[in-house]
Amino acid sequence: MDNSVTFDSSQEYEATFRFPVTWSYLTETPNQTHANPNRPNHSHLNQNQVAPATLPVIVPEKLPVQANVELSSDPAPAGLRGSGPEPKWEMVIPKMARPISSGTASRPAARPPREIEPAPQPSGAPAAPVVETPTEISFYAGSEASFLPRRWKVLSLSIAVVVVGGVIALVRPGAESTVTEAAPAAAGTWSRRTAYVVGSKDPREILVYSGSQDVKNYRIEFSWVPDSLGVGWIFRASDSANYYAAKLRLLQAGATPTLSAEHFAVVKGVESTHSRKVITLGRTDNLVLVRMDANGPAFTVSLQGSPADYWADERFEAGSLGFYADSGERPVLQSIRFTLFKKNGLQTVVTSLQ
Amino acid sequence: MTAPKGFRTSAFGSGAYSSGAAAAPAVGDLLQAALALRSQGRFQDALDLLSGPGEFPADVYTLRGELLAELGQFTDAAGSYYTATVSAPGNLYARSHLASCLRRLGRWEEAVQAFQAVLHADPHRDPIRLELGDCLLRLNRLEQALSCFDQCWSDAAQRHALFGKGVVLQRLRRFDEAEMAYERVLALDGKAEEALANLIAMSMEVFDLERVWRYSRRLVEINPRSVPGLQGLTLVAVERGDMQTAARHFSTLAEQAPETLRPARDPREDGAAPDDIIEYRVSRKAMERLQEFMRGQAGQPPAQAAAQPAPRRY
Repeated sequence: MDNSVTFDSSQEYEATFRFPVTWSYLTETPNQTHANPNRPNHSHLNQNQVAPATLPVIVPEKLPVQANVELSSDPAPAGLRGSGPEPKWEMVIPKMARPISSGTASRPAARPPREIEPAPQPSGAPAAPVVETPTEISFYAGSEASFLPRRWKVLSLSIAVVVVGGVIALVRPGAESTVTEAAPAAAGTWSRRTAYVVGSKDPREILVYSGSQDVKNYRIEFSWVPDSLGVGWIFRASDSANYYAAKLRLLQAGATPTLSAEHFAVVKGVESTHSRKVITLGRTDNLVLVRMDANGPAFTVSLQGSPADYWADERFEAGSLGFYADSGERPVLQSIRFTLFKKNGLQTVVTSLQ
Repeated sequence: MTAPKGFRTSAFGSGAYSSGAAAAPAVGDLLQAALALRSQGRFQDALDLLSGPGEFPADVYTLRGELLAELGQFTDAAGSYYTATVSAPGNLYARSHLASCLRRLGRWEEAVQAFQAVLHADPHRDPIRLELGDCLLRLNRLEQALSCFDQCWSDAAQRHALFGKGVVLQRLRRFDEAEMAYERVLALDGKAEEALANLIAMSMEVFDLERVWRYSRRLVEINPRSVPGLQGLTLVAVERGDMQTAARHFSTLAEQAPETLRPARDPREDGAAPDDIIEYRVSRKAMERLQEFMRGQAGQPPAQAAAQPAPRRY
């Protein structure tokens, strides 16, 4: 017991405890702002500078701090995705359940992945609100004949697609110069494929949207009710043994849920390690808006409209998109929308997985 | 080699410096000498070297700003960085440091503008975004601050952004979300004392003694001399009538923060908004009992103190 506190018996004391809200933690990391590599040294001197004749200068009372900031054309510093340790997954080798003849011939040669670099911000194509009831992914494998009711559905959807695509083509910034008219929406269908994974009891189900073959750039959008099993999607798929994939899982539920976002590639049946990061969302109402832009070698995943993950990979240049699910996964999705940037124009597909 | 952002390739040594070919080597030597002095930690000598009259390129002003900032002369540093940005508007390095200086000087509005200008040109700078969030919090622009922290995306900034979100949500009185944000900060950084201190403040705001005790306990486990932790433990013990435990914690508290025994000061002295400060006043009657216990524990324990049951675990 510390005895250093003494009291004058002739005096009355009051004690007041104060509990301020403080946030010095925010900026306490040393030199975090100064981590910019643009430190001036003798090799970085500007030319043609005109400076006042004498030093020191006095900071004016009001600084026009917004004047003429120009972005250098130099590349941004590397390491955009942070340097924190990322859990690595064990490599698994999926086997093809059956050969896919259509895509194998045009399988691109695998190239080494490029270092991560800043991806351009995705163009902000406005998303027309589409109200749909939640649908659960179904990987039901039936013959084409059994898809007859679905065709009616697709037909009705395609009409809506033409309207929505036309609106987006008109409203999209810069669309006037690049897209003269929206391409007619093809009545794409879903085809189920199966890939077996060594060491796994259950095969991986792959659901490919058949209207997306050979498309290079596209945007995938859907609303997802987060769950721990997650939702996985594939893109640039040439067959069930060559594709990119990404997956979101719910790590911690709540008003501001924590998700894990991961992406990987399957090349010639060999699955790469998963690159994973943890993302904490802002306040959500049980529905996460997911968007992925595939633009050349750059891929951007946005959650709730904000960029959440960037990476670059040049191995696959074009291919189909779709969803995948490992055993037991049945994510609830709404408002599934694909925007395909084709040579002859923009095509938007609003669809469901039923 | 590509020059970093905000700087063009040096022309020194090549005679291409347009302010005068004769002046270029002199300025180059000056910079070399100043950089050498700085690397030796001789900031004032380096500064003196760059303080003479003459015409200088922006990098001299940038280096000068760095030296002044190292010496804690932020007003002059801001002036030097400002001069650099006037002559080289695309120099994001100088501009971001100008913004940091303005923030340190408490010129929040101007700092916000400067940070926003940097982020407009380079939106991937999370450290800049955190500093901007700090300024927005100071300006009580909470929704903007929340949006700012939400836009942080890098792993390196995650815990700081989460902490910022916690502060904003706490000030918006969205306590459940704030608590979750702080808990995530603590999951990432178990020694984030300030997160626990803010959790204690938040629990005090709703007078949830159980939470106050829990977070105070955690805080004191991390730092036994933590003032908010000791305050929390003391007041919970007082509220629960366990004056022996209260006296034990208060004794340590009074040593760490003697001002708690004085009349309350103007809370604005600490630079925080008055609305954010929760106060708890120990009544005189409780203080008298605390003093009795403390005197008793310092010397011969009073009979009633000795007869107290075993202290509860606070």
